[in-house]
Amino acid sequence: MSGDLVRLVETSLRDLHGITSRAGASAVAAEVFRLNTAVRDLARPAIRFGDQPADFPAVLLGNADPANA
Amino acid sequence: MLELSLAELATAIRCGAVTSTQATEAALARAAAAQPLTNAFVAIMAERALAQAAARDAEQRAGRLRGPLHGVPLAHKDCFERAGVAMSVGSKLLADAPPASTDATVLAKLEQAGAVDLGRLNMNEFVAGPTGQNPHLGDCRNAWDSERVSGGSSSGSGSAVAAGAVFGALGSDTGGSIRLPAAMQGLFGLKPTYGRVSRAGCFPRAHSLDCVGPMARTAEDAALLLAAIAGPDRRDPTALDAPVPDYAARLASAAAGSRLAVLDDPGPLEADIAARMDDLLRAATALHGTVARRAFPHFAGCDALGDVLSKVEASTLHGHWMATRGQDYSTAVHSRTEPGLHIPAQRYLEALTLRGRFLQDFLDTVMAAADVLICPAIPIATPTRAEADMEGAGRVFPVVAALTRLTRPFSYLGLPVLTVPIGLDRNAMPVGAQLIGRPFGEARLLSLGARLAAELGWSFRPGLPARCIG
Repeated sequence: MSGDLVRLVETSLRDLHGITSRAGASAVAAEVFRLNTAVRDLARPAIRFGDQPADFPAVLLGNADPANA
Repeated sequence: MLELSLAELATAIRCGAVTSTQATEAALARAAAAQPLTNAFVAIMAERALAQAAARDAEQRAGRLRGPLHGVPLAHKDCFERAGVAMSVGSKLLADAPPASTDATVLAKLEQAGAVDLGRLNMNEFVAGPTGQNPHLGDCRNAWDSERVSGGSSSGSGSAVAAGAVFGALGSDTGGSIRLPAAMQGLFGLKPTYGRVSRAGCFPRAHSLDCVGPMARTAEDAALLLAAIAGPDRRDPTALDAPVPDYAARLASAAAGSRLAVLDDPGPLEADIAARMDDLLRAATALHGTVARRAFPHFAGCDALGDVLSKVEASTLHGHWMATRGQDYSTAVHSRTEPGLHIPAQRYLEALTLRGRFLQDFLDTVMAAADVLICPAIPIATPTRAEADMEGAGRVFPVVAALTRLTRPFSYLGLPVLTVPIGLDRNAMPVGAQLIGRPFGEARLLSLGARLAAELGWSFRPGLPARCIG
């Protein structure tokens, strides 16, 4: 993680959100970096043009345990 | 009387052996006695509860029983709206909020089923936190050992049920908030399938993940509570229209023939947690034959995907208050919400967009030949309050990660999860395991949970302290 990300978090808090950090920009930047990397690396190769958020409830209903019938 | 299960008490009331007023008076006395040790209640609403109990008794004398919970004292996390009552959601920010105008759907349904409501239960601020720590209201403490954390965020729900002050309680669960306090206090805690239970009138952490569910001393009690609250709701468009079976009636049969698997690599477990899991697997094998080991390569990835949804949605909800009243938040909740302000929109939408396919992939691979997956609930023994303090500088992220890494992935997948008590750790504190089902597999999970607990000889006496007698 670069110092640039810490500065970006500081700037974003002040100029985009108007919020004063309680955690400190370094800790927040580290958490953002961790989550961004994990999700980006998993999602980018996986995503297809037909995927959409509305798939989720349909998959739940379509795979209901027969014990619930 | 307070050592009866919810189901036993309900039967006693129906038979006329006990009145709702007698049960409610006993529960109120226990709640008051337990309060200095557990701090489980934000408000004990004695007058209101006794009026409800008197009304239930009058209805019964007139030949009318509302339902399976008629006259039973419950209490609920203070994140559910009650008409005419203020809801603080464990916060300083809403401490002076006006009373709600309507009941949350789940509370209205419980009242229709005949339950009595003893009051508002303690919780982590704004339904966020795995420990029960609350600097505004005082920490909720574990009914088994008041020096140890209660688990959270449905902390008061866990402690009130374990202490025997109520016969069951509702909690809410975004990344483990029902399962953690249930596991840490020897209870059955059910995070239902996403959409199984209405969230109307329940204060959110993250709409995409939040689930409302029961916490109780037995699987049968949890089944009775779930049956009362499950089903679609015009006030909550995410509440899905799936059949609601009689969960309690299926307790003896729904797990028959179930194929079981265990998560192959849940990551490091402390030795006593691993030993209790071995005990559980022996019991599961005795009941259901070979328990297959299944790898889940995206387990940590689903944790991160769920965390992104939770943080971004929470920061959206709290952004205005964080800008205008930031100092009114605890350090822990403010700090862990901040990252959501900076996560790129693409990551959030990737997490939402891929959710259906990742769920389908999980069901087609990890669960391909299994009806239930077994996984520990918490990888470590229940920590002391000092060990799990989240208000110190740099503490919140590691504490949350240590306690929730086994629960949040299943929140992302939206699957039903029942925590089952499976024994004690090195400090004589309860250890819990998660039973993860297929969508809407709650009947099977409750049935299996009851069978496994019986096979392990789990028997639990609520009180101060709560104790295992099995």
